[in-house]
Amino acid sequence: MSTRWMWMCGLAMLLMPALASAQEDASAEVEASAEVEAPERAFVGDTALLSEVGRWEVGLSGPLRYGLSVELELAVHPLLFFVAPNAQLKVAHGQRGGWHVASKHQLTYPTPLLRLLAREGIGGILPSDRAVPHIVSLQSELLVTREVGAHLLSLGLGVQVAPRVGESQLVSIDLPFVYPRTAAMFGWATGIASVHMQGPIAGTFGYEADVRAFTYPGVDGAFAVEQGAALRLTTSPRFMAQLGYRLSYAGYPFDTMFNIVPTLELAWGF
Amino acid sequence: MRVVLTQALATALWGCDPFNATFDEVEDAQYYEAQELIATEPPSGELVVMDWNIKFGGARIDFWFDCHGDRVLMEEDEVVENLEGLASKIRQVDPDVLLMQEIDVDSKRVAYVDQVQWLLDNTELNYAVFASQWRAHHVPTDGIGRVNMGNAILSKYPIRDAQRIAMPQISTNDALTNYFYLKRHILTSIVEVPEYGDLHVLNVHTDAFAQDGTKELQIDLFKDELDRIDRAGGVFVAGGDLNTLPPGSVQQNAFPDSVCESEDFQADDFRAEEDALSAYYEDYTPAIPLEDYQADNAPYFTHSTQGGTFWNRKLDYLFTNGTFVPGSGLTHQDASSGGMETMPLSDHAPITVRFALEER
Repeated sequence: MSTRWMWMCGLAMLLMPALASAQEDASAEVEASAEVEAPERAFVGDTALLSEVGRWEVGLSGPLRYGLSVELELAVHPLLFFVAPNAQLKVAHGQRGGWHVASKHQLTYPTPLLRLLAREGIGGILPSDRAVPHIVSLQSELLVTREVGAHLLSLGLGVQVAPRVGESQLVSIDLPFVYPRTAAMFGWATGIASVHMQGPIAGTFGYEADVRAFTYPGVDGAFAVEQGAALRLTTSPRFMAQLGYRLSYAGYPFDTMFNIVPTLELAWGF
Repeated sequence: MRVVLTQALATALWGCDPFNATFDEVEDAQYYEAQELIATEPPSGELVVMDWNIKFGGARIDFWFDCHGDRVLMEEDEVVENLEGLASKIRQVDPDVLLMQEIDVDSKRVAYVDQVQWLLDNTELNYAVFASQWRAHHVPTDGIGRVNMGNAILSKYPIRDAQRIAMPQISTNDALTNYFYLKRHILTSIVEVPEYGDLHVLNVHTDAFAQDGTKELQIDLFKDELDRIDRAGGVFVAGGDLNTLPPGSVQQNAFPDSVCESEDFQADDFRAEEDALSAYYEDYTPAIPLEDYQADNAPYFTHSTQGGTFWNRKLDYLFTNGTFVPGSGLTHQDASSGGMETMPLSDHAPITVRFALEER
């Protein structure tokens, strides 16, 4: 029970500066409120919309994003960058029949991370006696987003490939959320489809929900479906907190498995 | 990253069991049945009982934990080939009841082969019960990954009332280590022997690496369970890998195949455990009489950690409060003692005994 309270207090302390900042200045609040009413350019990473030009966004577990131009957004996962160099480019392709169209292209070199995880003793996620090859993961996704009232409905369709170079004795990490995202390293491609929605509920509260499906033909398990939903607090375009859950039902080398985990995300924009 | 964060949060906020690694104090065992049941005649006055620690079908591959090698995972064809070896020995003995330790049913290291089901389908045995000793969706150590290893009782005859009774864990481990660590237990069951009735069959695998008295406590708890059945008028056959030596063992430490230097894997100094099994020998009948063992230890050794050596200590036992046919206990060490080489099959030798189906 004491651990639970420590986590709650920690969460409150993380949120406090943002809440205090929101109450400090009435005019700032009005301005923030006005911007919250048009949230399509703040914290819209999973849609076809791009960050505003010159805007930075960073999340606790999400990527660091930067609005490079009206047509380009650049993103990297800063925490992972040094062990799994990565970069993501989102390209806007204008509007078609009321749908914003964009494509997202991600390049990741996970080899250093996998080699770090292949170790003896605690933290050994992979066995140390298996050779990890050079792997480059390429993922491209076509995204379309439509405004439905104040809500954003997005659909996505993508593919991930992960060519290997050199001797490979890599073994799979048979964990929910990880296995579908690494399955391409064992087969020829992973197909990805998604439906995503986000929007306001009342005041500063909003929501985000999505369903994401993976298929990895030729690899044990062959499929995964994930569904997530979260309650979002957007105090201003500069801060967002989100608490929710994520479900996974997926096939693995052993069988299928159902899992649910809580999710927490804090993000800042500037 | 998100997974790590959220799993940690789940543990902290809800105190749940995100890796499915814990057990109730007492819970039902898992029941198995062969795909094709083999019609079995009622036994003619005796049951052949066998006990074997099969090292999860790892045969003599040098794994990381016994300090002779660094292997962690096996390929499916290796596992099946090793199981073929185990099954051929089992078919040769043709036991009515088989107690097994270190058998995997859902582990990455055995390519997810369900070894209980596989052995049922490839021997004359029809029924089985299984209880986990080490279970987790993912063990984040040494690349082990998903694991489900435990003890099983296999039988030609139906089994009922099988339960997993939890035993204490090593007290000197921290909570996180113990969460992912082995959880020892007693697997208790009743085999319905035609024209005889109920026979309690109990299987145990006590701690190998405890240096805090936990193993001795587990040995005492197993004895308490046998005493309880005995007092209630039940007849039992019980055994397993007790990870300790019989009283009167000549060599009690410094075995030639003990090469582990890590404190976590010190399992081979038995000098402080000389009387750990005395009460078993005093109260019940062993498959191998103590006086035979004490006269000459070597023919009854059942364990060695390295394939290039020979059996050099006895860790495996069968006891009863009924009657074992005198002189029927056998340690299957090699072709001259059991009719088949067993050193290549596991790091333990099987033992067998004939149980007399008679009124108590």
